[in-house]
Amino acid sequence: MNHGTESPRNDLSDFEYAKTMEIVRQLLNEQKVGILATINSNKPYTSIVGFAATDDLKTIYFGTPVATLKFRNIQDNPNVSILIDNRKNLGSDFSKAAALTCMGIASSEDDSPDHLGINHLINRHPELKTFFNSPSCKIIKICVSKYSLVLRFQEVTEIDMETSK
Amino acid sequence: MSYIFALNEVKIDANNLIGGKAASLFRLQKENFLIPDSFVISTEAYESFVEGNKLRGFIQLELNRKDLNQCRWEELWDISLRIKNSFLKGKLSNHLKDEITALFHEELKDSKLAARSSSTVEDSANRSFAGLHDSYLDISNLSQLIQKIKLIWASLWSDAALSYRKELDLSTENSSMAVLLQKMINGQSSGIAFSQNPFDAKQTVIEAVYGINQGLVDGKIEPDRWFLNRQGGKLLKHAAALREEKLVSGTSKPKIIKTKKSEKINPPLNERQLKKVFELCCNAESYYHKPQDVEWTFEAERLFLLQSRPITVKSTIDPQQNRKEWDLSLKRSFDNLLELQKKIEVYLKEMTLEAAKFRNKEIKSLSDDDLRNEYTSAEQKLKHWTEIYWETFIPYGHGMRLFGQIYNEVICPDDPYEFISILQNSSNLATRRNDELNNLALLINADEANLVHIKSGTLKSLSKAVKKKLSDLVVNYALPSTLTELDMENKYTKEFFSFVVRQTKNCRKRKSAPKSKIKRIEDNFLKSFPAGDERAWANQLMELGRHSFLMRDDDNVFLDRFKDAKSCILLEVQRRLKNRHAENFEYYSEAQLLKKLEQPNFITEMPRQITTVPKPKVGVLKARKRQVTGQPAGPGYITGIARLIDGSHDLFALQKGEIIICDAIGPEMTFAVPIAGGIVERRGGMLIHGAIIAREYGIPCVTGVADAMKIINTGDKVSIDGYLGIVAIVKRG
Repeated sequence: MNHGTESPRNDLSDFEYAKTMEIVRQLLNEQKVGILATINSNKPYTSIVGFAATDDLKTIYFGTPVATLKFRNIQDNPNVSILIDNRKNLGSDFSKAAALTCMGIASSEDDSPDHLGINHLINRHPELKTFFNSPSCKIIKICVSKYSLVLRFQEVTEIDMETSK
Repeated sequence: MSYIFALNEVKIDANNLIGGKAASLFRLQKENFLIPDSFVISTEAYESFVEGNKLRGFIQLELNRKDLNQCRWEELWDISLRIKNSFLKGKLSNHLKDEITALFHEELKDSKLAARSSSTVEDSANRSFAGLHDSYLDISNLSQLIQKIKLIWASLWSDAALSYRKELDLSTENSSMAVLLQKMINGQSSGIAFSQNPFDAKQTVIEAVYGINQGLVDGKIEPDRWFLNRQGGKLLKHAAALREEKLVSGTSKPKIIKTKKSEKINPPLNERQLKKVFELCCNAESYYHKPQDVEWTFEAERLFLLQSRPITVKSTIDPQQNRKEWDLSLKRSFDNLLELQKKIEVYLKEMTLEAAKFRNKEIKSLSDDDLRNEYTSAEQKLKHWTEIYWETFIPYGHGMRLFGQIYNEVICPDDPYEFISILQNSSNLATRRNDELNNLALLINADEANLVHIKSGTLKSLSKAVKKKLSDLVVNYALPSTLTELDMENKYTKEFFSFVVRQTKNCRKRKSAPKSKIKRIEDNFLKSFPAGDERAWANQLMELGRHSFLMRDDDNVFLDRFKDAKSCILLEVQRRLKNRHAENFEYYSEAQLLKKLEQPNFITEMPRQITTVPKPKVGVLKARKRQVTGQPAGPGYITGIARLIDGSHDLFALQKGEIIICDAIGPEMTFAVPIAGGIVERRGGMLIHGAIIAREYGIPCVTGVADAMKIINTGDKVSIDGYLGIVAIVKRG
């Protein structure tokens, strides 16, 4: 049932949208690490990172030493994607696991005036406090432009975060 | 849930709940051995503290940053220091704090306390690793007690425990620490007993001192010793001690005082008491079915059993045979360090005098025989002083660590290495040598004529001032004395001059914290000790730490003088031989050179043909490392071109901003550091030469990178992260 303005054709209903976003939120809040994809001379390159998402689900943070390849890749090309999932390394993963691909633009938090990222990250990963606080560790902010949620093996939902409700 | 039990109320002797030591005492108490009133803070308290302060992940990161098997003891000490700091900064839950407070006020406040480690990794029946974890005596107030509890918890991860982690099966998942709290027994006489003498199976040995037995255990007080027949306890021999001092309870820690007159005359055990101790250790042995090493104390006529464990015999510690034990033997007590300090003061004077004798000898005018004798004597001296270096100077290096440990325990700073700024009070010989080298370069550059002489090789025409400075450098800072010969044919001399001329333009300046800041940190430290004896002790400890820190570099400079004396004589030998024979002496060993001098007809076997084998063409590399980790030893981040340094000669090729990749920065190499962009060392630690000098100049430094020399090539572009201990190869050269 829709309230207010009618959704454009093909869009999820408010109810379905809320349900989907709840799964997105759960994944972002429950998982500790994700697989980050960066671009290295036009080729994809993946790394595992500890992340933290903001409440509005529009931003994902992670920390990286500046010496790493993923950091250099981001400097060359800020387009990134990060996969966050709840697989358990079991056969049932194919049917039960949820996987969220988050696409967006990465930037170093130095460039933005609010230094919220580091607090989010420390809350989420207290054991990495010294790491995040290290001067050679950059806090990277991903402004999520789109989520892609995969459920039940092949069911894919795309959520455009730039126009999201 | 309750975290604390009285030992006599414990329901089960579960090792995993109360730890090995408490479980063992619990069983002895059940067998009616008299033990001091004891309480246990269970391992669940440790777990809740670790969980509450999110320490488990932190410890795991510390233990896994680098393969511990590749860590030297210094690195383990550093890891342990950082873990300890995180425990000290942790907070107890209100629940646990309330329980400890209640126990303290209801049961313990009238007597002094001993707090002892009781870890789940020590199983007293099978293993005996004495001194792995910490124990504290003479605790008299609540805040002190809480601090010691944290320290005991942290000592689950002591350097010694980390060294023996495999034997102990130490892990963040399965290892835990309980704390045993005991009312201190004010022992009039105390000691240890071996139910079976490790050196004579038919005997029992009992050792006793006046006062409490920590003095005996630490080796500070010489005990009376009785040898008895194991069968029946007949006295075989009594070896009396002088009994001049004893250790007694003090305000916050035990203190040594003079014994009374009557104590000097009478041994600390009478015949009846001796018999009781003998029975005690026999009973412990029959309970455990194994010879026992028993600690005991007499309060009035009550004989308390403090500890009982299987006998282990300490063999003499040889670094070749048992590196672990030797490393741990480097940890010295404050008193022992003071003794070393006294010795070192004498040694330094002797070394200076003896080195001057070699330097002042005109070796060119010696006969061949005298030259050979001179060589033997230089070699002997070098051997002698090298031995002393290992016996005395190396263990003395623990002085700065002991200071760091105490500093962190009382100040609990955010940066566990803050104490280094206090230690760096005065510059060491190596940094002063760098300053002098810089002055030499300034002198050379001040006069265009000097530069011309260096270019054209007419070094003998250098200005007087330059020559004087050069000779000062050789005398005071142990640069090779061949330099003063000003022979441009000599490779070292040639490279030295070209380097020095380059150096001034590129040199970094030393960074030091403002004096006022150091003074503030220093005052803060001293003020945390009550005025009087304790503050005086803290001051003495600080000075000891500083001296030990200084000596860590300086001792090498002193030793280098003997190496230089020897190599000067060898050079003279070679010079004479070259004048007399048309032979190539490059492949002669030292001994062969000397033999040739004595017997002109001596010919060594054909030296092995040294041919340069072309490097096999590298095919497709299957796998190689691109990023490695070590210990963050000098803060800073830099990307630059790598230069492998395989001997101090290579250093002359170093260009400004290049990253030194080496096995270890020796004090003789530190002159090049000011132009380096970063340092990567195989040897690990925060307090080693390379790390110390890197910090002095503010150069990013990562130590303990096991494969550094193997995986990085000269010319590779590398990034050094001295904050996090990362070395990344950005681009292959």
